[in-house]
Amino acid sequence: MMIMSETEEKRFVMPGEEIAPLEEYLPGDGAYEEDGVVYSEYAGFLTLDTMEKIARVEPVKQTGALHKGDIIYGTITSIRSMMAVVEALEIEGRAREIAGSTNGTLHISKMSTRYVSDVERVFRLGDTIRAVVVSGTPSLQLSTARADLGVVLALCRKCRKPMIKKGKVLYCEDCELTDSRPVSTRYAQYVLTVPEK
Amino acid sequence: MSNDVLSDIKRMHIMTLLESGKRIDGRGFEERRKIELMPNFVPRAEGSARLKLGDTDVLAGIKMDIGTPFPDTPDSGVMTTNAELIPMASPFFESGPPRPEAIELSRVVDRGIRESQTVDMGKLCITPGEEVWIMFIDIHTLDYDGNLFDAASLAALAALKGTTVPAAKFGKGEDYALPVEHLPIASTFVKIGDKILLDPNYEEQQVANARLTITFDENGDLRAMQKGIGGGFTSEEVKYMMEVAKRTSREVMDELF
Amino acid sequence: MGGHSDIVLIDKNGIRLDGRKADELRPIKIEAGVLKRADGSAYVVWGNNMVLAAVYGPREAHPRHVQNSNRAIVQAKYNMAAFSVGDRKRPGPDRRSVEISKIISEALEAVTMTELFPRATIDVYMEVLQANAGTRCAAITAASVAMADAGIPMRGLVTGCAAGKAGDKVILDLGQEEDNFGQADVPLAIVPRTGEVVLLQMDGHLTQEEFDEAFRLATEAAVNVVYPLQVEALKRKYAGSTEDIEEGITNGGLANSVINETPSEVNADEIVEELASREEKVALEDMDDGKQGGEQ
Repeated sequence: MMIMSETEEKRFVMPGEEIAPLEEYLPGDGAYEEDGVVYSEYAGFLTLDTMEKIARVEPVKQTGALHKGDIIYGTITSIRSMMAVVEALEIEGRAREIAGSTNGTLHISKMSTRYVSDVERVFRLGDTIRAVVVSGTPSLQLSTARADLGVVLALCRKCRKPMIKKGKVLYCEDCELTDSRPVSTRYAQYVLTVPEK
Repeated sequence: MSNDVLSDIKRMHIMTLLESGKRIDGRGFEERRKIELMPNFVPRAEGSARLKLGDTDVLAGIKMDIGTPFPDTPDSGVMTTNAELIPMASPFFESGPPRPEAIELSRVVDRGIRESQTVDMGKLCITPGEEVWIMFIDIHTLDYDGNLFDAASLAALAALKGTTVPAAKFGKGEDYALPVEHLPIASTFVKIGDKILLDPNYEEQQVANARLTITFDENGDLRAMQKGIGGGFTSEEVKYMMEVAKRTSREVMDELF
Repeated sequence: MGGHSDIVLIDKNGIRLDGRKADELRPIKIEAGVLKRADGSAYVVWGNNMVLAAVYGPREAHPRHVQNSNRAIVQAKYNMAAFSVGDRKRPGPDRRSVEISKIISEALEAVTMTELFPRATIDVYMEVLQANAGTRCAAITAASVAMADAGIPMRGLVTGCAAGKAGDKVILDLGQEEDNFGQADVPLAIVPRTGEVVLLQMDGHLTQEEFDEAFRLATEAAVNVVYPLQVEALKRKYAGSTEDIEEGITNGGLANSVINETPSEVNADEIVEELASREEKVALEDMDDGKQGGEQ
């Protein structure tokens, strides 16, 4: 988003509204060109970047399309030698269903800030993870290489109940089983996203 | 935005808050959400009411027709209740024939009204054994933010209270107000961990272990109950909920009717 | 359409049953962003029609065989509440609502940038809460505002309006009796920016000249009156709009509109001013006269 001077106000535009001739501005995010004219894709706020000569429209609401930097909650659905497959379930801070494929991949090189020799030492099937989107298209690529990312909830191998974090290990109160693997600093924490009208 | 896979972590989040005495929307455990009633919302129906319980939004409409009575109740009108969980209201409601959730909702609303004899069905008889009024209560769920039982029951009651029997249109004398004689008020609770909450919102309902709906009338007598979801309640918990339901249903009655 | 009746639909002064002139719309009120759970929503009161629209998506399309690997699909569903019409309607889709759902889906898909969301669906739900002739035009008008409210990328809004013939006169926006006892109905939807007609139906009997006149009335009213109300609804919701409707027209990119032959006699400002006072009156009249409702 651009920082606007106080006098400059963002114009509210409609889908299909003419923004500028193509000679003056190129269509950026939220804008498209047709027959030499730049139009808005959204009901939203127009910013004309006079330096770069780009017209952008920020929609009134973001859809559930995933973009680089979005944080998602997901679950590990498959483990391979060099990667884990993740089903993305929710976008943190945005009450929208994910638009498009929810099937993401997490490559072994992007699992941790440290070297990972074996995927199974970090993730298990059914783990709930918090991950950042590396790229949303053409396929969903994720990363958990940050202290606040990674496993946020693991289930007990035996009884499938959520395990709690006890010191540095995961512990099942019912089965008294422990599991020692790296987890997110936000283990058992969750940011509830409630839709707004 | 829900998902069974995330319900464990959601439950932990909500329970942690509850341990410190907080609900996710800041309410007290025995506090209902704000009720907004828009009576006679659909003027073309014989009766109607739109009711918002927080952000749960339902529209109840009453239509009247003439038909034949059931053989075992020849001098009594007929009432039927139908609730539609339309996909507009939630990403998890689907079009198509009513699912068990919608049928349960219809029946809970129906039971509250029927068992409390809210409407004097005897006064809906035209010719015993031959002609009676058929009263259709239809509930349209517009926006789902939890606790449809209470919202739909209240909307149906409010709609009935404003209903005109369209006798003139059918050549059966003058129109008259539907005889509404009782005020059954439903109160729904959920249990999350060991905490009991009145009027659960969407997120609370999603992670609840057990649910109980208790319907009291204006005399403080019980008229209907419905327990739901896998978990259970202790008898002390049931007693506690009765007490809260009795007290708060009186408040709702005074506020709305 | 085509029912027989002695009812006088238009008097000798050219005034219609509800007091409108031939080229006058019923009062219209549009509100954007009215539901919490839906991704986008809108509410339209059009005369005695009340329609709520909600949008979900783009989201993964289920079952998988309905997915298109190159673009999103738009699945609109038009539904009438059981109590929305004179005689109770059995809940659930009938052949009429399935047909309307199909043509509205196609009309909305025509303006949606579906190529941005392969394999996804954009679901649009329209609920008719009260019906009084012209629900499909009110529904698509609401649907397109709900889509904009959901942040769906589109090449333009879609605006619905109908015209037809009753009492041997071509008239705008048929009311219930005009629909029941009139001679023709032409519901349509247009993209005001391009002038593209994305929904068009006709039933009854018209000469080609009468059709041209009906088409002109409906498209002009859609572009000059209904569209600005759609724009205004979104502005009110998001831009704290205090701008008047005329401003909305200029900003709405209407410079390119195909409608430029005859200026419309329908004045947006008048309609808006009348709204508040008439709405109440209409509701009261409606209760008193016991009109039998509903296009079935």
